[in-house]
Amino acid sequence: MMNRNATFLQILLENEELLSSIAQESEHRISANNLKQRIAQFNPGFTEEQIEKRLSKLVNSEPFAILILNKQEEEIILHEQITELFLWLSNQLYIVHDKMMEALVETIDQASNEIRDEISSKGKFNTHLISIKMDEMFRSLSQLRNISEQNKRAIATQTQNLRDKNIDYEYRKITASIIEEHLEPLRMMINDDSFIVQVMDNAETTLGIIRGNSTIAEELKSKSLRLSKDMALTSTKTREDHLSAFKSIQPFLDAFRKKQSDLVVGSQRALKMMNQFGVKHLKIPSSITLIRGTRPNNIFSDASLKKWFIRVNKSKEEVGPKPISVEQAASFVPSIPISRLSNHITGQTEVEDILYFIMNKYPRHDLGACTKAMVDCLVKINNFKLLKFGKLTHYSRDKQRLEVALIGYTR
Amino acid sequence: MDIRDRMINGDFQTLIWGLLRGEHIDLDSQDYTFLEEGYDEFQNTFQSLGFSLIHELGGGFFYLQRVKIADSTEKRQANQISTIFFVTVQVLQDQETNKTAIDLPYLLNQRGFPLEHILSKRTLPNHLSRIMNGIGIKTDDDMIAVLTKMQTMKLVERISSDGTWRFRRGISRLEQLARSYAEEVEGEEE
Repeated sequence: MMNRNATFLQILLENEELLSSIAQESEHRISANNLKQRIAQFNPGFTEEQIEKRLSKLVNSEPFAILILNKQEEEIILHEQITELFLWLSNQLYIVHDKMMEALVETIDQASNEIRDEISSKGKFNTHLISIKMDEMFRSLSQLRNISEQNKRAIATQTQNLRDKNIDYEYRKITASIIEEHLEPLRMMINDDSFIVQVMDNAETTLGIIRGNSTIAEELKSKSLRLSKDMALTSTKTREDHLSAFKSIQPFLDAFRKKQSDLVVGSQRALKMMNQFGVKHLKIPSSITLIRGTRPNNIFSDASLKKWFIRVNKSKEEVGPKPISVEQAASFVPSIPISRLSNHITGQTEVEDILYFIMNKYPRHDLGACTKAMVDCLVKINNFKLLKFGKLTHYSRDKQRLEVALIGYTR
Repeated sequence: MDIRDRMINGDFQTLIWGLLRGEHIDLDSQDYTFLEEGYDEFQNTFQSLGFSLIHELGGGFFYLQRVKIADSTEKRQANQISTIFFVTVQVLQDQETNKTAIDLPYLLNQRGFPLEHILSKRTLPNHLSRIMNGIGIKTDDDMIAVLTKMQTMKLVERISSDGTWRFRRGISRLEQLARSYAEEVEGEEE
């Protein structure tokens, strides 16, 4: 299964022309009909069904919709962040594309080959032509140095952006994916055995031939020497600038590009849903039910807790199915109000048996509900010293039986 | 003396009341063995009080769960505790620059994490700080209060006065909750 960000990026790149054309529209808006026409225009041969499918892919993309559908006005809006990403793809982040560098290196290679052809020719060679070609190489090298400097700054800026924790995490992650793809060819270009290194080596040999040829004027030999130094300087600078820039950005790219655990993905998803729909949407309490006793202070002193235990006598009587009666439907029993009840207990000077007291006060509640209310009241009273533990006592209501140590309250 | 007799003798009050306070009894605690050996007896006791004793065998801990759905205070606490956990995972992921995966073993390391520092309003990214505000954790004191609640439940433990906390085994309840949302994502993609 494809990674969600990779899928997103793929959708983005596969619709590059289409999205670019929407980005040029006023407020990045376009009517639904117009959009379908453009999908057809950029994808000749698409059937009606394929067009709808492509539209749905763009509207339902994750982590966020690339195109936002406004059903009321029947128009489509390009997502703001996509516009930003798209502008970046159009070199707005100032990282010069590897193709540009490759073109300059090819110019140097071509000039070097032409110089060598000229020197190797049988007739008298054209020194003027050699000088012109050397000038071309000087210009290309100068441009390469500028690009190298520019890339170094641009990558440093991107490193800062990836580090900026106030930028949305998902957004930085997508940007990291794009930067990674963008930088990969540049990495290949500055390898030890890369095209750029091979061209520089060949050009250096050509310039060496010029300096070794006794029939060539000293002026041209001197120019060849300057070009050699320039070329060595450029080669070193291009590689070092990129290497140092890659070194600074790589840890952040790795952090964003590494496969995330389900824990991280799930936490991100939960936080995103909280942002969009509020925490209630997550329905956390149904998964993480806590108990009322989870309060910062210790409610009961452990040392004070003496012989207290509970034993349940399970009823042996089998419970069979019963017919539904109208009376059952009318037998709604409201829950016991804990706060009021505990205030009532603490309002007394003494309650000999709290459970018995509750059972008397709430005769329609079953034994389980009364026991639960007792525990809640103990927690609410929150003063163990006022509780008194007695002998094993037997309690029963309907078919429920309970043997439990008596708990009383004395002020 | 078997577990039942020891219960009648009152040997386990501390353990029982600890669970009723919301503690998660994990393998690090001696009481874990008692709960394991006398599971049926303890379960019987707690069910009579309206609770269910849950044994997370894989995670290595016990905890109590109310049979009935939580009230508003409990819901609020559960939401705050879970939010702090999700935010912590996000911050740790953001800080981790090497290839270490943020998973349960990562969280359970004994050295812990400077939670009070990384979750402080001074250092928390704006978008995460807004989420914390939305759930009622508006100040650093609020955040420490939630961590303290989690400590009462033995989900975390403050191990140093400089604000370093470590996660305990019980945190795997929240880890499972987080992973359940990840599974939802995968389901949608398929």
